Amino acid sequence: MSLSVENVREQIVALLPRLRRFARTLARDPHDADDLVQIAIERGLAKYEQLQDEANVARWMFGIVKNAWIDEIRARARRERLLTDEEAGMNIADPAAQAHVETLAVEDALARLPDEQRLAVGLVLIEGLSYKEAAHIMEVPIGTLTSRLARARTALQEMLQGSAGERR
Amino acid sequence: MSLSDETLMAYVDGELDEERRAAVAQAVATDPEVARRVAQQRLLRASLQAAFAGVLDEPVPEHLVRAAHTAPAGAHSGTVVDLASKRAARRSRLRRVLAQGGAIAASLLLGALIAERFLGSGDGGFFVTQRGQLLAHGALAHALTEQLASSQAAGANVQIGVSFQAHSGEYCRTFSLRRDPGSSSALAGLACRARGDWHVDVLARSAPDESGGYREASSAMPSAVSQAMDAAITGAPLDADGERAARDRAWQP
Repeated sequence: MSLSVENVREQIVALLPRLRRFARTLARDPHDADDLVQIAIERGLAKYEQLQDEANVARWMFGIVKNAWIDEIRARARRERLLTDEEAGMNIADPAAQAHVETLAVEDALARLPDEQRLAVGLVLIEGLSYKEAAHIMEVPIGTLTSRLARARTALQEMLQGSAGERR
Repeated sequence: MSLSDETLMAYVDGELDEERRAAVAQAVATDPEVARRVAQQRLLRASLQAAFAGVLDEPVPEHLVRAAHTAPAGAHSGTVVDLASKRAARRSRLRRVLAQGGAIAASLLLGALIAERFLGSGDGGFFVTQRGQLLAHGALAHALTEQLASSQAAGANVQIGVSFQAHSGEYCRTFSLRRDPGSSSALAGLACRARGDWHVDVLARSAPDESGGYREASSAMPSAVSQAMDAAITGAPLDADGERAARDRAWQP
């Protein structure tokens, strides 16, 4: 049973807030994140006919955002233009967010994780997907997902301990 | 019973089957150490969700909604772009806005450590935010108003780099600063004088040179700062006389 393109468009519109949040966990720079979402919308609609077999638009779109991000990482490696530290320190941020050092600390720690760990954190801990769904989107076995999650959590705890510890 | 970290993480994530879930719940109730480890995992999960919860409340940009409604659907629907070309298009838009003399919209998110060090309370930080705009404050504001690159002390915490006039007519100055002598990290940025304040439009981390001193502010500017300067500048940077004259006019265009 295939989905109508109108139906897919509506579902994508409804998903936009979550897609933006997911992209933000990957790209950090909000404009880069929104560009990723736009790429995913364009790619998703271009091949929406593939959805015939898979009516879960959310899982499908998260996967396309993930793939667009991985393309970007690979392209960056090819261009040998990996984010430098000074670029990573710069961000076009929602001004309201500037005051929240706690949020900054979390974003900063997340940005330091290896990409595959950040992806696992974004899908499971932030988007709240099940291990099964997240592993499907990442195209890895569940055991790989859980070990990435465990490593990510340990690293995040260590990075965040300093700032949280002082307030305790 | 000893419980692995992975088991406790799976418990917090709601991924254990009923039997193992009940066993962990029992351990949480009876073993303070297990309870502490579970609480730590819950706190991390909550912090991550809190950090990104705001994104859900932001209005979705109109161009994304439009794309979802109107982007071509189906095979043969055209070329697919990548992030680099999207970003290049956006940068050129930003450059056009800058060239038209608009306010430089970039504001900055600092890494947490930097933020704590530079925005810290106590003797007052180098920055304050006002209606979402980052303004220079304290010693930074003073140096931007008074200090001349041609005669500044080498050890001063704020070093002025290049002063120039932007397309808008405003005077702008690049700067670098560090919190403490010997501090391993430093910030560099660009501030422009408008309505009696120094508006900090760009900030970026910059590493001090190996000798522990400053880089020459003008020679080793982080690329984010030099790009913003390139986009905003009209004419040549001020020379020592021009800098002094502009200061003596209190940076009035």
